Amino acid sequence: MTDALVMNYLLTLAVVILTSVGHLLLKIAATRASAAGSRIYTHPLSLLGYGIFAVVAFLSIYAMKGLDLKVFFALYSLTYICIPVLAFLMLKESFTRNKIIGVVVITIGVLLFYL
Amino acid sequence: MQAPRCLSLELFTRPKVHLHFLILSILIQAFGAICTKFAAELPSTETFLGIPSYLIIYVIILGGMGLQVIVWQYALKFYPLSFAYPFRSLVSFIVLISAVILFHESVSVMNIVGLSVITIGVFFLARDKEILS
Repeated sequence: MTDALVMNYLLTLAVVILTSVGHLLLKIAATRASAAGSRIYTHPLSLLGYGIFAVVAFLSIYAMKGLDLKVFFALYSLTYICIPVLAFLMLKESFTRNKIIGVVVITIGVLLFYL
Repeated sequence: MQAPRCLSLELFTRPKVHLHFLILSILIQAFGAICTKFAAELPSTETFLGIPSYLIIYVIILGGMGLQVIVWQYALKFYPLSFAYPFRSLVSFIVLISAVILFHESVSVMNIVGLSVITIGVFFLARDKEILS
């Protein structure tokens, strides 16, 4: 594996992590703002989330340059695992048996779809 | 109140209004993906009213992304993230159908298998009692 290819995989990993954090921030902002009765879209955490998505869009272009699109999207399917796990750890969302099966099966499905 | 026998069907036959926002967000996401593909395939020499066509499409895509974030975050108010995000995988249905109809791409066996598996996954996800409460 060449250095350039390693770099593309690392960039894709960064995209996955940042995307997950971005969605987490949007969720926290939506919950807090609606609890406080204030605007969701101008909440500081929302703005931080939008900023992260802008960075993600930029990084994705570089990651995709050296990778096949289907490889990129197959790796991107890791977000379907990352985001529910983060929601469970950080937001204390409940994890029932059905939800775990659903998340795992969906991730496998997305992987199959793109590979 | 007695729990409904089939929670998955219950979710779709008697949905909370806000599920519509989740679905709308998926539709906008697919629209953005289709526009991106159109932009990638347009010859850069093509213009509309003197403006390069791909530039116009980029503006539409950017607007779509903004609209999608608004609708998506509104839906997030009502659903746990661990339900809402995996639910978005249903976008693959629209991606595949538009790939065939609009861009005349071929469908592989793996596409069909993947979509079927995704559907089964969403079915399990929708059986979660928390979603209906």
